[in-house]
Amino acid sequence: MKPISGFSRACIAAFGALALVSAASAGSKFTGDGHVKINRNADGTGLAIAYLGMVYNGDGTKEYLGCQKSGKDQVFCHARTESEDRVTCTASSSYLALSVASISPDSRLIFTFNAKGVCTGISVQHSSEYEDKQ
Amino acid sequence: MNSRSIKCLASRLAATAAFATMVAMPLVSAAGPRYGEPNVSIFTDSTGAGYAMGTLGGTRDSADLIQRLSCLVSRNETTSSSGAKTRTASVTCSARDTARKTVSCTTTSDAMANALSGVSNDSLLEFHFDAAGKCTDVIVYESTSLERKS
Repeated sequence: MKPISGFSRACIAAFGALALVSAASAGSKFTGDGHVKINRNADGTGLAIAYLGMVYNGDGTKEYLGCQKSGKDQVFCHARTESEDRVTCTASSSYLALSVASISPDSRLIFTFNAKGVCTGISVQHSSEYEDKQ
Repeated sequence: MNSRSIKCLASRLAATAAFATMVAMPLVSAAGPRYGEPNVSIFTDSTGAGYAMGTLGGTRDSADLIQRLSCLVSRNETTSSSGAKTRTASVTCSARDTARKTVSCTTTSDAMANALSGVSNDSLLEFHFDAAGKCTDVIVYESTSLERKS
């Protein structure tokens, strides 16, 4: 049987379901360690990762992680852990700038860097399991 | 965006507007109208192809501990000694509904990755996949009617 389409589902949802959503505080949640982490390899490459909402809402006082892009596609990312390990990277890349544009306050953000401090990758994950900044 | 996506998105806009004016407004005093199906819905045919949809806020705020909805976009760029750039994108989306049915898909399509650039903390996500688990379309919807994450 052909599955009901998104079109039909949306109509059913809108017209049929008087679903006035209650903001219960359940729902599957990510319960792992959302702190800033920096992993370095022997060749100087590495990555930094954090859950932006969890870090913001957490009890850390030193850690942060963020990325920016400019109108000239200059990308900059930096991170600091609670133990004050730091890393920064830069890139001139319209491609990586696209990823910076997709970051939201509740994202899981990872950036990778090479031994020269050049940003080589940016991963952004959006999930219902990640908490928002409060 | 293909015609089906446009149709789906347009239908959602129309449905939300109609919902606001015809149904919800008289019943809600201190809030705007809300999209009626915020939780994860998964549909597959006999081949395993299908689609999943839900809102990030509504799924997180749902009354169970089972549902989840997620999309990951990764972009990598390396430059060779000659200056040549190699770019790769990857997209992975996954969903689990209240019946614990789980689906996921992946793609290396730049177009799919770009489509997810507009995702925010409370977006509605819909992703389509074929029988091999390849993402064939991704739709992002934003509206006043979508609830925020609690």
